Amino acid sequence: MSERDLKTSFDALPGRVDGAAVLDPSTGIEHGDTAPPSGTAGAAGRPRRVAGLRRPASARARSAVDQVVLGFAGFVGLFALWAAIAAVSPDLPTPAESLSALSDLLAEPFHDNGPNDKGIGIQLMTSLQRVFIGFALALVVAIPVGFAMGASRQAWSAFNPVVQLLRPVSPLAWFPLGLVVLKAAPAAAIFVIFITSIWPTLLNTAFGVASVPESHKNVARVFRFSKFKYTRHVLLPYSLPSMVTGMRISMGIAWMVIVAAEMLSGGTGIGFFVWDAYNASNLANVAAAIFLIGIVGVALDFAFGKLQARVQYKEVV
Amino acid sequence: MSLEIMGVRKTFHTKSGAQPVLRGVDLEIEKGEFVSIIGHSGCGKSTLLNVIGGLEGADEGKVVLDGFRVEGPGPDRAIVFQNYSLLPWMSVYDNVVEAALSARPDRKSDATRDIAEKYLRSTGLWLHRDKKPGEISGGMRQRTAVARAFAVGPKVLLLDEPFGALDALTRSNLQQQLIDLWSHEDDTETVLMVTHGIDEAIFLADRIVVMANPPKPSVAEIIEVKIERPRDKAELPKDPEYQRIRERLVYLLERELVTPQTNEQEAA
Repeated sequence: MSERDLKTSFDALPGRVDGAAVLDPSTGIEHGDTAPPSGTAGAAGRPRRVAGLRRPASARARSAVDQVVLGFAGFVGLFALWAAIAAVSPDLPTPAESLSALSDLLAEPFHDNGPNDKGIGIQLMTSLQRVFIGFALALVVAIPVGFAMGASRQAWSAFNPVVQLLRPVSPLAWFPLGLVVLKAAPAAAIFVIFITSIWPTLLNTAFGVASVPESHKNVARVFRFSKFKYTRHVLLPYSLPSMVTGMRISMGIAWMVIVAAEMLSGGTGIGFFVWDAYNASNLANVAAAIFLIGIVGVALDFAFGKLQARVQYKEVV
Repeated sequence: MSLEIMGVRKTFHTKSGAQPVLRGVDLEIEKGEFVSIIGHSGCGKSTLLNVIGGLEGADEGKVVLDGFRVEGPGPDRAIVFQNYSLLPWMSVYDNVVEAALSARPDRKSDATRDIAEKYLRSTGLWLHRDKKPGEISGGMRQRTAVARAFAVGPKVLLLDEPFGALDALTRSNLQQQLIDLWSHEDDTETVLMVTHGIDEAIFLADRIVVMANPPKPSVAEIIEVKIERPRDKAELPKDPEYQRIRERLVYLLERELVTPQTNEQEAA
């Protein structure tokens, strides 16, 4: 079956991911986003229990407490390790220094005293704005091309070799080209985000569209759905979960890449802030920025997780 | 008029060689008839149904419905699939209405909605119309698929092992509902049902087409079921005609039509 072949070749692609599983781009390991391995399962990861067999409320409350306690313990471990390394490497800021740097940064996050002194909030907003613009532009390209690749064998043959060649390239390699053509460093950073965001969304869209089951297609044929109706009521709802999964991965990578892109572009943004703090030997600010970048990343991923849950339907059969 | 299947042949070309699935099928089905098609896996019964439904083309021969040659799917033939084939993101109501609306652009959409409501009510789904297929039982899903097919108002209803995946009691219930729907129906008079079940075939059909696996000819035997309607499921096993047909079908399916290939396929 040709459809199956296509599916298998997709399965072999490292970028393609199902359902709520998320590909960690740094490790290449797929993992569920909300479900911990076992045992200390949070409410979201635990399979639903039949009424009457539910664990008593006290047990559930205990597991929630466990979760908080263990989560806290993880951070304690991180800080202990950090403090130990900082003790032998005096150039590293200690956790305490970094925390005080963080509270200083958050005291006046939106202050603006000219180009060399902007609040951390402004820097983060600048970066977020670039990420959203680059991401939105990428969707304009990735979704139609992904649809075409998934729906037509010719489009697949035409685009796939190009996609496979460009996909593994670090998006930062595109920075010089962006700079030359766009003649502005911030625009080049947006261009880098645009390139970054294309691939996961494109491939997941193509995968979703290509894997519409024969049974859904037969319904459309027997009841003579028009092209529009097929797209609206079969193709789109079927491929939407996979498309949003792709968007979620794209956004996750884009948020990582913007830091590096702004280290190159300079001027403004959280990446510039980190580089600038390093140049000023203010490593406590670097550590504080790492924490804030992580928080924003978690928030972005959470939002896309919500969107994913909204478009997910319950499979029958 | 009638449904005529004339010299239909079809061969699947697979890696293990050519598989002659339909080896010259000739059948004439009268308007108003209920015909069951029974046979082992691999005898081509589902393929025959798909050819009549227009989902697959025949290599040779033709299917003619009321004088018109079947070239593809059409609103005169609705299919109830084995695996329900509901669209999981749509409500029960939308599954029925959207299909009926696009299959019958000639009807006013209000009329189609009324017709859909009628079948949703008669299949007992009206109260569940806003649920998604994932939120209802297997029996209700299959009833939705049946309501969807009837709402199109096809001349011929094609059922592909419609109750195969259901438990025995639900299946029996749905068989009765199908007969009730069909006997109160003016548009849909002819039914063609592929089945694995001997009792189901006798209970529902006016004629039973027994199909054989290759290399035997496709149609092994056609058995008339001369049992008065309405048929009472509880009394049926005592009927001598029922016993005679059942015996014949069991003999055919368990002895005569068992080939090394059917055994192999049943095991697979």
